[in-house]
Amino acid sequence: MSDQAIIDAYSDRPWEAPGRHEPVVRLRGIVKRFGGIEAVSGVDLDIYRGEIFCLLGGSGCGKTTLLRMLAGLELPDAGSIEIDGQDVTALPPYERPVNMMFQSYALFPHMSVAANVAFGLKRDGIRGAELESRVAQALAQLELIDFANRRPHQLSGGQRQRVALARAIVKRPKLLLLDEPLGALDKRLRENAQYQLMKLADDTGITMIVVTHDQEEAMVLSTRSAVMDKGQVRQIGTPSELYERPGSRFVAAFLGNITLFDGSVAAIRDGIAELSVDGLDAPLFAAAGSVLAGSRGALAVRPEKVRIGREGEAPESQVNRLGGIVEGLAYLGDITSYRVRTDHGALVEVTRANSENAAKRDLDWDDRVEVWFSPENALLLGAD
Amino acid sequence: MAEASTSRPVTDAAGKSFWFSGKGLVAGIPYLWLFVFFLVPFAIVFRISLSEPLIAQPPYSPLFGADGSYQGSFFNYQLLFEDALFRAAYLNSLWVAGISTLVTLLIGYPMAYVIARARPLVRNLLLMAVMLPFWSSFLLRVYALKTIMADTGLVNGLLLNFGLIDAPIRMLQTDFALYVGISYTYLPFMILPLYATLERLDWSLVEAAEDLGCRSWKAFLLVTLPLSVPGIIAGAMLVFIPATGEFVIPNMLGASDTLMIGRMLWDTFFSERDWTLASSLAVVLLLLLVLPIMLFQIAESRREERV
Amino acid sequence: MSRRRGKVALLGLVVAGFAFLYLPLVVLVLFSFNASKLVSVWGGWSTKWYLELFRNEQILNAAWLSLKIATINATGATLLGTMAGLVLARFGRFGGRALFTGLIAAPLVMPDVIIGISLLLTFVSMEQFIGWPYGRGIDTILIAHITFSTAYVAVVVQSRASGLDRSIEEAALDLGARPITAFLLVTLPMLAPALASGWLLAFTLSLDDLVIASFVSGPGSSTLPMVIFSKVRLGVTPEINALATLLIGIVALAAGTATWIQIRRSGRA
Repeated sequence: MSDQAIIDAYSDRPWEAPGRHEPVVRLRGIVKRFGGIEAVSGVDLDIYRGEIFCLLGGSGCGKTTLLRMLAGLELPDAGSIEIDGQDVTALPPYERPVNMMFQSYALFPHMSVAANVAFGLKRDGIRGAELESRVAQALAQLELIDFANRRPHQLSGGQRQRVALARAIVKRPKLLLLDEPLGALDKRLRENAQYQLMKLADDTGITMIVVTHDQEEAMVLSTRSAVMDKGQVRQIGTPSELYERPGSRFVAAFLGNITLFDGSVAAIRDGIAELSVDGLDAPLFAAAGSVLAGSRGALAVRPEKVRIGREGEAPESQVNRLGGIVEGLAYLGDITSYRVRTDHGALVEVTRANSENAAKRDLDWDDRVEVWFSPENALLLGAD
Repeated sequence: MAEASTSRPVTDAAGKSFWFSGKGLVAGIPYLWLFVFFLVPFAIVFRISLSEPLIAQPPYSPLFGADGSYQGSFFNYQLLFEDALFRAAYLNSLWVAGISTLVTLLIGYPMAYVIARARPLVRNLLLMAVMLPFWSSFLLRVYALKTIMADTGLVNGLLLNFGLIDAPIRMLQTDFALYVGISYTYLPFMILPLYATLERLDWSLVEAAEDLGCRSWKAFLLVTLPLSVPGIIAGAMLVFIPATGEFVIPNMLGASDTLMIGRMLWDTFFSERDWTLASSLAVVLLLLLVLPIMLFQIAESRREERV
Repeated sequence: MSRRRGKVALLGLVVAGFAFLYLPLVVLVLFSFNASKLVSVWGGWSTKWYLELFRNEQILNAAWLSLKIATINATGATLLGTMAGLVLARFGRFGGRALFTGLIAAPLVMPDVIIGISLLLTFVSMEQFIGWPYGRGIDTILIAHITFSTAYVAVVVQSRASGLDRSIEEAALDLGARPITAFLLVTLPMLAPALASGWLLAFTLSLDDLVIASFVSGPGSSTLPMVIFSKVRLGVTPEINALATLLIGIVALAAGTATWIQIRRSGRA
């Protein structure tokens, strides 16, 4: 292997040089219909070795159907699925080098933890000492040694989740599919489980595809995510790409909070667009994306990028400034979130770190305020 | 449609290919069995009801003569409609089954309700207690009722001993005995579907109704009762339909002249050896029961959907 | 106040309901030990009816026949009924499903006399045209019993199967089990309680059937219910009480064991 190949193999961002890397999973034109309704309509995806790739979207967006097609539990109506260079489109689940962790965990209720974990290995004809050592290794990896002889109904939710995970990785699949793997856990357990999952991915090097509806989970876990809607992939990117540079209103609104101002683009100068906002006299300015002058668009700005102060506190240099009244506020410990009704009737969300608030006098309900943000911190999105 | 493409869903089969797959074989065996031994027999009963009785083996006339001419007739049905006795028997069967169903519902509903609301352990014990009599012989339990209700039976014996009555009260060989017998033997069939429905009921709905100002009996009438209708229908049909054609209970508990159609059919078949008239009696009974059977099936499939 | 009274009234109704269910059983047991032949007269404790029962070869032969039929019937009906139940629970829509559902539901309610006469006439016609079944006896009773028992087993299996988490079987496939292996190692063990209760139900139904067996049996194949029926019609027969008591004892013992196992299991969980 050449030095370059080794460097490539360990590259953190293989998707940035697709020509030099072979994806582990290659989906092309996947379509799935249920009774004439398209659940998945034309999905292409390349997923690379060692990735934790999230399929992110609301219920009914097609993410679980896509996962089940990867597992072989559903067959696509059109398109092809390649795993590690092998076309598996028509292979049944039991012939695919893929394992899945089910949302309900789907543990065999009549078998002990150890028997659950051993089930898949036995199907491959593994017996005796090798079977025992591999089961023991998987149990150790997920801190389940003490529970080996228990039945699933004698375990807590977190333990069951780990058994499901152990069962799915013990066969060392080329691809691990996880359907809402942490959905049934409470918040505290979930955070631990997230890090455990990332550590497992790191230790084993197994490529993972995770279905989740929880954008925070996707942000924490994923190397990259695909945001899905109505059976289609809307955008693929790293967490920060998706958050900082959403390509559409849908993606912008799906990940985190955002305030949108609709209007038409009056002019673009030096990469900054001037937007005549509907119902507002003064224009607002934002970094121009791919939007053309004269077209409709929306200015998008994240709450933490907006500043808030009493009237007149905004620096004179700020071009994007709006007067309004505090219509709601919520103290969230680390931050305080404000909802400001502007004079032209729009609702703007602002968050401010509380370490900052301590210095200033607290703003209260119905206070007259001013909000402002710099054009570089706002993004112009297309009209869709 | 979608099936025309390369689709081969693992989880749901559809379209023509079903009957030629492994699944078709699994479905086909019980299907064929029930088709041959449950559905076809109705056609045969109907065919024989068109014949006339003969002293021969088998004891009915062929449907086609030696010259191939059609010889079937509605002779037996004519007999059924012209004879007031048969009409009365059908009406009385429906009446007795109806009253007994009502009695069974009134006894069974509170029991199902209490079982459904009991703690899981108590619930299982009570369910077992409901099923237990069912597991022991039906015939022997009817026989026990007979010994209890007879003129020289337990109840009359006790009452006479304590001097509460001078002469035995006639219970056996009355319609009263039929109501008791049917409600007794069919009670588990009423309780179980009722229980199944009530057990799945979301009791917070009742709490919500009470929270919104309903007294508990009103919450029962407005929430619990309407939601248990599928269970009531299923239970009522499980009692009503077989009770209409019941033979053992009228034979053992009823009077010798009790007009119940199941018994008449039995006597026509075994005593008078008129297979053709018995067949037409069965066909008319089946026609009378088609509507309740459909009702039962709708209630069953609705309960299934709610699972 | 009124709420409590309502509760007391409800409990009273339930107690009365259970008393109604159990009184006849108590009477049977009690009078099986009555030395007197008359129900209204207590002649002191005695076990002579049990001795008479065990000397009655007609009853013993019929009981043996009925047990044989019930066992074969239960096994056959469990086989067919499990298939049918799985078809209803798992196979989704297919051409002919509506009729199939009807063929499963109708035997549950169909009056015995209708099933009896229609099957008998079918057997007679079959014999006439294809020469089988030749005459009537154990095999015709078995066919008749399997036919209606299958429907009961199917309903029990269906309700258990549709309550199972589909993804457990999918997990087995995903872990490399072929469909038949997944069925044997995962689906079947999870269905086991339903299969057991289905088998017992079919066994009981067969052991209990008088009407259908009377239509389709032949000479020399009198089942236990047929013998009991002919005996009780003739008059009071205390050895029948003894038989009933034995039966109730067996059932109570089985039910008690089942409950005990269930309680122990839930206690361990």
